Amino acid sequence: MLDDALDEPPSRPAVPAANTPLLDGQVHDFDPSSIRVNQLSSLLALGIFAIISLPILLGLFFAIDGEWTKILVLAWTLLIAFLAARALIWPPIAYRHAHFQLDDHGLTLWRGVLWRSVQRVPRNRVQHTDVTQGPIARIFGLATLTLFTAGNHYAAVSVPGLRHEDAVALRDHLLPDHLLPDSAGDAV
Amino acid sequence: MPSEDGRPPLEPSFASPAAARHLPPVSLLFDLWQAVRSFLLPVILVTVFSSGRSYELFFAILILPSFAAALVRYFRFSYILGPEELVIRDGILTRQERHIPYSRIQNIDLIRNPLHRLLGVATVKLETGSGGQAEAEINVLTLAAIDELRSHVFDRRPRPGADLAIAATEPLLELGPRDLLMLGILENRGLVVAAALAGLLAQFDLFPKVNDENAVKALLEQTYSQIVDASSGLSLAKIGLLALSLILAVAVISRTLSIAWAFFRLHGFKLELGPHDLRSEHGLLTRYSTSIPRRRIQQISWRSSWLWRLFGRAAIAVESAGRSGENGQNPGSARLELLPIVQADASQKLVETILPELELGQLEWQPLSRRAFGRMLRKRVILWSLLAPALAYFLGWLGLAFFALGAAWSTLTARRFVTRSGWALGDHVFALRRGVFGQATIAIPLEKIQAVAVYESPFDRRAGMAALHVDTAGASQDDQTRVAYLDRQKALDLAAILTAAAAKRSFRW
Repeated sequence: MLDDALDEPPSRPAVPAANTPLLDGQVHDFDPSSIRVNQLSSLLALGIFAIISLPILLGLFFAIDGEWTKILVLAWTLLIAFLAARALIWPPIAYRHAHFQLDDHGLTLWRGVLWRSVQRVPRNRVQHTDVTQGPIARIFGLATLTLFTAGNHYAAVSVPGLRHEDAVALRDHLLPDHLLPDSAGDAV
Repeated sequence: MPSEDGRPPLEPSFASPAAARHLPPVSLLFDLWQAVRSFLLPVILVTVFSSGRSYELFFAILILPSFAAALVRYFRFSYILGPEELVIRDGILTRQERHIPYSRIQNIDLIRNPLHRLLGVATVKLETGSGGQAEAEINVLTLAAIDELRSHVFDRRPRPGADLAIAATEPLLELGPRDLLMLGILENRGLVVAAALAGLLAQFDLFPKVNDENAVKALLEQTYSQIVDASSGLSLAKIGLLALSLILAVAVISRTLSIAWAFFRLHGFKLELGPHDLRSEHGLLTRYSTSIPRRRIQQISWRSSWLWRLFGRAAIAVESAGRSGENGQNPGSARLELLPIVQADASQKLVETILPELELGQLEWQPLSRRAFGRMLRKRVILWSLLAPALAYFLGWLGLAFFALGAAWSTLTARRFVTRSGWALGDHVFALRRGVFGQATIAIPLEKIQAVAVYESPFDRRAGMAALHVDTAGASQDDQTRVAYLDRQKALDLAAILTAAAAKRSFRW
């Protein structure tokens, strides 16, 4: 039968007297700079989109006559304006609804504004982790921590908007558990 | 010391830990056959259909290097059943030594075509997961050697004494012709088979006209005009009758094909329960044997659609998964139809026999939110009401009748959904079920839970409900392990409980 129905959690030091206060089992917000990072990334992506779509727009502009050109330009401008507004307005709203918590059981993530979710990853299900920094995040000293599990829908849970040192601390905190060999020698 | 004829030495393997074993001589035959096979069919076709030029001799010469390679491969191949791992040595030019720890081996699958069966051997495929390729394929081993391999992999203690007989297994289910007949009717793989046959025929260019667009068009036009001519004299009723009989004919043909396919694929289906694994075999001409270690089972489900329920049958499936790939790639998912067709009343009992540690008999099913029915009903009534004016306008009284029928139907399905859906939390398992006219139940051992999430859409939030999603290794991408229409607080509490339960139990592949 299944050998190890109920393991006691392997003895390890309790949540370490943290070098960062984030590992205290409380619910935390992400780093406020992440708002800026999101805004800038969105605007950058929008800028690229605008630049790429401009030749197409101009092409259509010259191909079509009359009223339609005005409507086309108007539509394009409105689209860009709308996306720009969204890029500026949305991140602060999303920030207010995003939280995380690391405790003895694992990591919990709260996300989403309209479609909200609470994601929980037990600590002993983390197969491995990644800490990555996009170019804009690096400027602000932020990083994204990605947890990989054996699951399918949640094979990779990414936690952006952490300060780089916090991401590393979280990663280190989550890492040691599965380096402990379990009795079957199945450890990674 | 390698034994003379590939049969394992009679002394227990731990006494001579480094005993390298070789393939039985007949494996040479199979290797040669595989080499020849890729040439054989074209050669035959060419000889039969060609104008008798002599380049089939040329093909024959090409076979010789394959023969030589097969010979070398045979002599080079050896394997060792070590205490902790299987070591395979092979390779013609480059020597390769592969170490496969027993703990990594997920499946040992066997394939036996009629020739294999005649000679008492089998092709062995070892899988360690990531789906896709088999980790090692051994072509071929004798049945005794396979049993010894199995006992090493699954029991992980070399058996003392000459206890190399087949490990004690308990037969769980056998499918007879009646079951296969039923399966063929219920499954309707007929269309798939027809398509495959058509593809096969097209391969050999026996449908020359299919390649020619104009010819097809002409053929269709001709048929159409023939139909029009023939039916111009007939009344509407007769045309209706003809159409109906045509549909029936197609249905009958496809079901017949489906039944034939079920027989072909699952003839002699047998499922056995070993001490640590489940072994199934099936197949008419080519026999397939697979085994799944029970601890690899991530989810087990039993389901019947409305049609299956009508005939009182269900299907039991398991999801098992291999190890995660490199860099967090998804492990290969295998949703295995473990028991393709069983008596519906027996399905839960069978699942309990397969995984008794889940204690499924003790489950107390909890319903969805009390307000779920009201919410579903409101949504459907609103949708139908939006449709009603259009229906009334276009179809008059008939339209209103449709509206009434539609609303009644929606109410019925909503009611049935709410009463037949729910969840249950045991000491070792989390289960969920749903159904309107059919029923699907999925059980997840708590130690297989990977991650848990609770979702709420804006509509959920207004209704104070949420959906719970449980993730397991290799779960398929659909929403199978999701329970919607739960009370919000209940969903959050459940998520916390499940996470805690998972955190207390280590996860083993």
